[in-house]
Amino acid sequence: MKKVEFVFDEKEDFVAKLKEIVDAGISPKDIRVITPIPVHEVDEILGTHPHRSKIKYFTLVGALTGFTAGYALTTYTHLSWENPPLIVGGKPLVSVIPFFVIAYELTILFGGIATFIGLLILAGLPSIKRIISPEDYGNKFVIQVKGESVEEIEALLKAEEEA
Amino acid sequence: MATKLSERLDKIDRDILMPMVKPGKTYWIALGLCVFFVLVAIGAWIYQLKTGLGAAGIRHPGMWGFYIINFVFWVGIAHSGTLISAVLLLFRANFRSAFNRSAEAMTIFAVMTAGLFPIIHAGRPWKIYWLFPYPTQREIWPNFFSPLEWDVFAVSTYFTISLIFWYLGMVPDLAIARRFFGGIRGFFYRLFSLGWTGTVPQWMHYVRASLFLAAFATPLVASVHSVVSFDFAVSIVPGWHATIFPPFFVAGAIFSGCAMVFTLVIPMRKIFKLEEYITIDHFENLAKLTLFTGLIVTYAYITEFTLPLYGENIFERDQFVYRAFGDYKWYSWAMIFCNSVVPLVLFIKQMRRNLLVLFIVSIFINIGMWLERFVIVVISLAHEYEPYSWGLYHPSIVEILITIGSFAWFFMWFLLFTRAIPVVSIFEVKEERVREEEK
Repeated sequence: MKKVEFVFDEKEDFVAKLKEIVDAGISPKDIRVITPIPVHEVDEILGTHPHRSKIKYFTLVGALTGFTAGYALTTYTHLSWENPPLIVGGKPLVSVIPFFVIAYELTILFGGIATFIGLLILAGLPSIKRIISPEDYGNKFVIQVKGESVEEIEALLKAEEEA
Repeated sequence: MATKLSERLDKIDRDILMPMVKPGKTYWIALGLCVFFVLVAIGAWIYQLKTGLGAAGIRHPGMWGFYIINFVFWVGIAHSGTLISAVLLLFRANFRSAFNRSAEAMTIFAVMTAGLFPIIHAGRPWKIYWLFPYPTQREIWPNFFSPLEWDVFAVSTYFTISLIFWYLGMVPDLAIARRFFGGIRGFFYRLFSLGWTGTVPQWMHYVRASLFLAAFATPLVASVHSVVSFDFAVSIVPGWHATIFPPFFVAGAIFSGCAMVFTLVIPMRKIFKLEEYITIDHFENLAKLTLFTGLIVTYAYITEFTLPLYGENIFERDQFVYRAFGDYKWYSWAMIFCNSVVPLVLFIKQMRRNLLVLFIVSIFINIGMWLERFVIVVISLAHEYEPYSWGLYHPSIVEILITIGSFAWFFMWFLLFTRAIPVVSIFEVKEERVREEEK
């Protein structure tokens, strides 16, 4: 696939160029940006603010599953001795308060694991191709344009040169 | 600033990764000593396994001794790691980036150390899986009313989440390290950096995932030591049965954890020449946090002593009189001196900015917080309700060797960590640097 690549040493130059490219009407879908640190200006230009990450759904589902699992596990195990009931410390078989501790911990456990799995899925990690041959630009800021927009960007560059 | 930004960032990479290249002689000596004491402790443990728990000094009524003290102590040490990485992330406190990697490493290793003690204490390590709920033909399940079972869930969740959080923070840094190392080592950096590239969608999800994990870790940190305190507070032993225990334990845990960060990071900074990245201002901020939690701990001591003296419960009152003037009085007073008096020097700005003072204070706090667990565990059990069941606890040589071994085990992992993983979060330092330059 054809691609045009811009590599910058300075963050300002990189942000300015990115803005120029997007303003010229290049579709953000065809733009791939690689940075050594998260750059907030990029989020504004490309509309990739972390708010919009779908990871929150993983977290929510994980946390709810954990909470339910915590109560389900404790209730099930205490009820599995129901006939005859195994009374411990004179407390009801199903006690909401002590079971809450387990539910609380499992909410966090499942929620955390789900967030991690969500990150791996959404960020395309681990990538076997990249483990074998990493794509590494060091501390440079990179913009790549590919796909159908390549011709547009070439025309843009040409126009700039002429001007 | 004549150089380009990318070159300035390259310098940060080099400065932080440099210490990982070749360890000096001191490093090998320190590591060797740690391994030696770990082996001694393993030997002591094997002796205990062969002779039975009688090899330890735990006798009626002091059925909880050094092992439980160490468990509570190390879980406490673990706390500041999560606090520094998670809570300070939520508060956007910039000084965290200097400490978070080593503090999180400390958390992992401290939990690894703490987790050994229930196993050692319970006496039959080959049956330790009974702690976890699993279906069997015997239909036996753990008792979920027991705080000891809550502990199993709290501590194992804590370990898992801390590990995920630590690893997640490391991924972009491992991607930097893979540029600097070849061979097997480079292969492992490539493998564990998971093929990280730093594209915009990766950063977008990454930043969000870190925030969510921080949001989980914060209530987790409060819950773990609360649950540990329930081990005591849910019982009816005088001196343990107190509603103040959960916040008291959490504050104490953060206090001791911050002290341990000083103990580890001050020498590390000097040896690895990280003065530029871990500055005196960073230390001063952490010293303020230490002072603050120290004052909470002092307040808890005052409450703990005054309420029984003021109240009607003669057993509670007697327990606290015994604490101050009984057989173990020197432990109590030493605890108050180390935890409540010595940290007061941190009120003076010059002292907060003097690393030697901070280091010495941190050693006092470490000792004081270990003594606090001794005071709570041992003294309370030695002086319960009926005079015929009073008795003293004396640690055996096996317990002492295992305790020393646990410190060696902790430091051993920390030493290995400093060579294998960037000790400061590189991408966060860069982020902070760029932010400062733009101001």
